[in-house]
Amino acid sequence: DQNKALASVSAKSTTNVKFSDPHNFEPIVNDICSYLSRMERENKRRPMLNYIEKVQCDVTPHMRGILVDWLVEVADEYKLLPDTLFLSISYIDRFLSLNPVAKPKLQLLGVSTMMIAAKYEEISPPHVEDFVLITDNTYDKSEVVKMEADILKSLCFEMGNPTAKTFLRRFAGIGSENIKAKKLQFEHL
Amino acid sequence: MTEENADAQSSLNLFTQLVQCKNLFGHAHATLPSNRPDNIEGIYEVMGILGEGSFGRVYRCKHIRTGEIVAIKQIDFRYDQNAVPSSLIREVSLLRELNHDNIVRLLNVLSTETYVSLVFELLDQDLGRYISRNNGVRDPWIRKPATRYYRAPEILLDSSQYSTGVDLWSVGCIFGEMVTGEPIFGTKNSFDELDAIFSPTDLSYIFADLEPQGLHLLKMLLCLDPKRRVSVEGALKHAYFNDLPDHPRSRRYRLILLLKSLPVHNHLRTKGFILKANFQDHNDPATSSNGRVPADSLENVISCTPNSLPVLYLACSK
Repeated sequence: DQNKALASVSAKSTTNVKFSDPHNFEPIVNDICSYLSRMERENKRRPMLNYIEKVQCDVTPHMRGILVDWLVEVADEYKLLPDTLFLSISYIDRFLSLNPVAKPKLQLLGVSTMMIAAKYEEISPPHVEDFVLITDNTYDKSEVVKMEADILKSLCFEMGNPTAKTFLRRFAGIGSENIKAKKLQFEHL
Repeated sequence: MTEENADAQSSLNLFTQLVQCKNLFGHAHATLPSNRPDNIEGIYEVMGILGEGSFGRVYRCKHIRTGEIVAIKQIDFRYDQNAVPSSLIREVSLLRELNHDNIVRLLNVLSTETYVSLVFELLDQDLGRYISRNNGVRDPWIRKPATRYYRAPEILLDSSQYSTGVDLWSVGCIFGEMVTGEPIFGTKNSFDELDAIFSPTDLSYIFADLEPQGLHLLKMLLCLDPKRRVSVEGALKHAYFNDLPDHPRSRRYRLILLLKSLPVHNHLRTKGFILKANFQDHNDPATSSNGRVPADSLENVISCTPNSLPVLYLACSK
């Protein structure tokens, strides 16, 4: 099963790791992998599969797609880490699984989740004003801040979930035989 | 690597930063409303104030319906330019994941747009007394200690470009505490902390009990300049660790575990991972009597700096 698969890949990975990568550090790498995969499977950290039909009245899959494309550009504009982008999208899906959102507020949700993800992940996150600006002032500061509070409350301040990116980095590291191949960028998949 | 370049750019004169920092502290504290509320969100009745700090206040409260007694830490960010502080998002996310006897339990989070109330289990008086005796920790009821004791000078000086070296400084502080039995830079506030760090002291006098090799390593860990501070790899290769294997509960052995538990590079960290380095022997009656943390052990330290993997150091018994 999944656990065994993870355990075997991590065992393999320990053969040629560099010490300076703490997440491939032999004594703890299995603990990290199993902790993260267990955490990923927790219901509270997963979106509903069918939230568009079950919860949303206004939002469509196409609109979600446009929002994600726009957030990729926001992340690029402010030079945010790929982890921030992935986290942001996981917050959006979790929030939309719990709360119906009107079409005009979807971009507000996107920009506020990006702000939370940046605060969680980045060393120097952009300011609230930057996030207001990137929406071309569609929303004002108070709306972004209010939405931030709503998201944190709705998601119970549980903002530390692993994302696809977390595991991708790991598998890419294991799959590559040399250090050069490891530096392949996966950000824009 | 980019972090190293950033480090190089940030090598401002520490003294200049100290001066700026002193000016900064003069205005930093937002004033709290003097009156305490009667209740919190209509769910808890406020019974008294347990503590106060720059973050806000800690109240002793009773759940109106169930009668449960709890400690509620209110963090006020109404004057914060960027709304909810990132430290709060990280702290609460982490506490939400933690479930361990040695860590205070976060029972609930009540949030509004301008402040957050963290509902913690109320710890028994003994532990509270122990921690407050331990040189003035501000917040004795919450077992999250004043990690300020272990904060590197570059963080205290408000550098935005600090890197993994901050963890090595913390290891140095904890190492020193293993020797002396008390926090080596344990002072009342960040301001005094800087004075203590920058005051000219002879470490070989304070740590007279420590072996010469240990003292040498300690000096390398407590190097003021983060660029010249020893790295994890460097520290692990230090001659102090040459004659391992040692007794698993010895200072040397525990120090090695601590060093090995450190994240080395920020961008390689995996989010959400908590490392539990438990050095306490649960079968030892001296350390596990009544489930209390023994008075001669180090405090629990949750280190959650923006630049490092959240690492949890559990009680190290002396």
